[in-house]
Amino acid sequence: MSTVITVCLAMLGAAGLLCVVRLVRGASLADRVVALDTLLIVIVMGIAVSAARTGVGTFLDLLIVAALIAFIGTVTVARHIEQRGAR
Amino acid sequence: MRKRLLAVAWLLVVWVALWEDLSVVNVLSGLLVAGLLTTLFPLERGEPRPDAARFRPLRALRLLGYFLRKLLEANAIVAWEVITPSNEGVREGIVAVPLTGASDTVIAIVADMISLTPGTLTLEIERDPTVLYVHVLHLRDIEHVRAEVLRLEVKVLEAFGSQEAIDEARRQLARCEADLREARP
Amino acid sequence: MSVAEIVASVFLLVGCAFALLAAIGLQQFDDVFARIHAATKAITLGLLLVAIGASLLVDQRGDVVKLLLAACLQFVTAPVAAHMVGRSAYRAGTELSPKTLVDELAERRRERGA
Repeated sequence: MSTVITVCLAMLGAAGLLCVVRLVRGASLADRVVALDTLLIVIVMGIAVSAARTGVGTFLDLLIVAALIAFIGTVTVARHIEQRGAR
Repeated sequence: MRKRLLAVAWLLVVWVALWEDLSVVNVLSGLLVAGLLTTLFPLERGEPRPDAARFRPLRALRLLGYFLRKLLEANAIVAWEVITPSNEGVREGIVAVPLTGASDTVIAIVADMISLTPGTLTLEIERDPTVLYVHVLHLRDIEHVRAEVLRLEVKVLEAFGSQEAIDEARRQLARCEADLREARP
Repeated sequence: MSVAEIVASVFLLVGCAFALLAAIGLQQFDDVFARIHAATKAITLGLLLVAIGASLLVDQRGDVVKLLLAACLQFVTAPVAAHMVGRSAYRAGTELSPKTLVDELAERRRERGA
């Protein structure tokens, strides 16, 4: 079981890293906001996997909060892009 | 009014789920919060458009099944696409699809499902006449995409729409499929 | 490993694999819209799978509700977010990939403008 968790966390870590790469490289603001949204959900998945590892669900409230903040933030930046133009 | 009741019901479910405890206090406070929220942030502004006429639970389940199948299938395709780095395969395009269903709910559900299945994304929605602009990841055939979206609309209308809307949508789908067959002899 | 652990492991592994695929997709494609396709949808499915896998392993039933609620919320919000970012990027004039075949939205806009 712990091997499975390690592999999962490794995949999520790699995914997070790639998101950060796109965050830095991304030609436009839209690319960056998509990368950030994806990164936030990767973090949410990390919390879920760690809850699976220990069986303790103390941090699961964070899942809902993070998912909602990711959404609201993404939509807000999207509106901003529309007004200011792609950069 | 029905929309508001549905909204209150959903908010109540989320509220009780967050408190993890189905007690009288939670339900009452949930109703209070839900009522307050739906008063402060009403779902409809201005004059209400004609709403989804009916709800057929069996059809809705079929729609859900169709959607889940499409979701898994399309995600598998995108996964394959990402793994095999053949870049010449990705030819994108934006396709205009005229829809029939007048009710906002149906349009929203169709646009939502399009955006959720990989390979298609709703870019713009125009009303009067209703046109959906769909960005497609693997564009091989424009008419084919239109037929797919119209098929989806028919399925959604079968679950949520009036009989006339269903017939109208089916006629439009038939016309589109006829165009498809003409295009390739 | 018990049956629950084996089933949960499969869900967790496949879910995290989809997250990795989403992130790789972010790198591979060469325009914003294709990246939206790859990232937002694959990660939503990944979250659902991980939530199902984790709910098999957590101790309390309330936690299962929280996990599934989070996955449900993501399902509801992800298509809206993807649509809004795509729409804003298009309206702001983001360039489409050079491999784009057809842009009927631009055609119709041009017709209407002219």
